[in-house]
Amino acid sequence: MPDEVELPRPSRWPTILRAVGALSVLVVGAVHLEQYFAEHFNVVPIIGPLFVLNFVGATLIGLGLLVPGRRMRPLHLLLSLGGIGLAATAFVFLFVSEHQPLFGFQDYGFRTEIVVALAGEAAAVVTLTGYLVARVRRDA
Amino acid sequence: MRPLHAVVMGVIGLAVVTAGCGGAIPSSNGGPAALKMDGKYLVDQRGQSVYLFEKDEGGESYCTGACAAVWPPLETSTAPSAGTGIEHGALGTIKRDDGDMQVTFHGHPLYYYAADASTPGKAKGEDIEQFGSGWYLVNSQGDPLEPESVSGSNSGSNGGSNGGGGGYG
Repeated sequence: MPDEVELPRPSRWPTILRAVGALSVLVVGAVHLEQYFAEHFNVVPIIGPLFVLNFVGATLIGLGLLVPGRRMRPLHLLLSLGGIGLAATAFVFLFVSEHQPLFGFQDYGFRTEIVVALAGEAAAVVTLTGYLVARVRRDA
Repeated sequence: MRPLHAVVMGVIGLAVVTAGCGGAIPSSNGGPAALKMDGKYLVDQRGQSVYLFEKDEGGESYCTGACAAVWPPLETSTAPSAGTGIEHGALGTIKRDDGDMQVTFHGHPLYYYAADASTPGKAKGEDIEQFGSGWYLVNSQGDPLEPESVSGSNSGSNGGSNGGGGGYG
């Protein structure tokens, strides 16, 4: 009787990293929407509408990353790149705007929403980068 | 490239571009400040409307964080100077929590309004409630301007101004 060949069980880390990254991106978008409505950023020219677009982009990326399935993998890779770009750019620009005017605008203070946004952006960059690395190493 | 991927790439590109602006908010100019009367209410040297916050008491600003982003404090690096229609003694400064100097008029800390940036010489912030209290233009005595007295008070003088929005650039 031949021995059964046990295939190595695939690691769950890529899925976990993708899910955490997706949630982080969704948090970033939610903070921007909250600032738009609750903190009156809707009156700020240019910036207000861009907060909404940030929310829309983050929501599409986050929800897309949460859709399961092997056929979604190419899309997950693209969305991960988008999520990293969105989060990294927002992180750098937000951090800079705390210290000096950026595009003629400046933020005031590391209030809770700012801290949550920076944490979410950092978490998104780290986890989605980890996901990409794990996927590339698995597919190699 | 498949159509779905093309759409996703477009969304990603848009998201990345907009993300960069996600943390930005208006700043006050921070240079030497000068104020004058323009019709019935107070403006800065470029004709940009300035406001008082009803919540401020005792010469202290209660507008920080997100509030200061939407209502940038009128900050100055030197003693403010008085222009047309106001007494020099009415101007002063306070030190904000972040260490910056904010201009006061008759003891009221003064602010810009972010929504005015794209409409120089306008006063979109007159008589509105935000961040827990009312915002008003300021008359020559340092009191909130009556809303009904704003319309038509300075349309001639502001119409040809050089644009207070420059202070945000």
